[in-house]
Amino acid sequence: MNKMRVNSGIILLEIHGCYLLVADKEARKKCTFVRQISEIGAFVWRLLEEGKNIEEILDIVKEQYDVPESANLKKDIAKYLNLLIEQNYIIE
Amino acid sequence: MLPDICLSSEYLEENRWLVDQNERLNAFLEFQSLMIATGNLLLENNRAIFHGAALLWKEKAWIITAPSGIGKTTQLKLWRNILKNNLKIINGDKPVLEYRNDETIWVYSSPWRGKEKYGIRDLCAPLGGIILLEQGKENQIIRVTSKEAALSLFVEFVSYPENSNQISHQGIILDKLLGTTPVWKLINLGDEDSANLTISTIEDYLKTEL
Repeated sequence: MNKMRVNSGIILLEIHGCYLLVADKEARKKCTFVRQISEIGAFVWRLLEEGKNIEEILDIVKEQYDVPESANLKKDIAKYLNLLIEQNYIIE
Repeated sequence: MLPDICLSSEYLEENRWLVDQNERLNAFLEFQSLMIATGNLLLENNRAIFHGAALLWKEKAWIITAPSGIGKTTQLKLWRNILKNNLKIINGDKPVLEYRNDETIWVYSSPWRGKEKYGIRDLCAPLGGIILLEQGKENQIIRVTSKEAALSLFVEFVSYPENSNQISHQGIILDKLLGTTPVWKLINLGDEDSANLTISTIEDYLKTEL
């Protein structure tokens, strides 16, 4: 996966434990207006906003959420990031 | 002095999806486009246009909301038949919400009152609760958490925020609303029993608030 950056027209909102990615006018040309993501999805999004790459994200998520070694964390995170790339929330 | 809202021909064309494709009258397109532009501008002033029927009962506003075609107007008519003179209609389609400094949410009428034009100008009330409507095979009402209600309510704001500032404001208004307002989900048949179920649920809720 190449270096990633978030689409600058996407805003993450947290509303009473519900996490939404919301597209502004420019971003809506390529993204849906709003999509709900999980708490971990929002945590990963914030790391992307900080410019973290996938390896750094994996390390931080593993530590933050105390994920066991047997879990398919890398596969799950890669799948989530690929979805965000396909839907233009992330730009490579 | 520049106007706060300007509807250019480009802006109208961007919003043509708001009207039936066979609608050739620009007047209606302008009316709907003005609604979106107003909705966006209001966000920056702690206000929002919201998609729902706003009913005034027991000195509070009760908003029934759902995507178009699910039965909001049916519920409005049922409530009117049951409650008669005890009910007033603030707005049948797109009331305005205001988040005030004292942390209350108030509900006002607006020019956008739907096809039947239900609503009384200058009528307003503090928000009592919101009913999320769904169609179903039996009547059932459940109280939902703020987290469960957030997305369903977010998409019923009548706005297409143009920038991060407007998006943030929409989030803040919804956050404040959910912090102070009960939300129920009504799965219903669109009959009088469903309206009675909602009314009695609210009455029980109001007793607990006393």
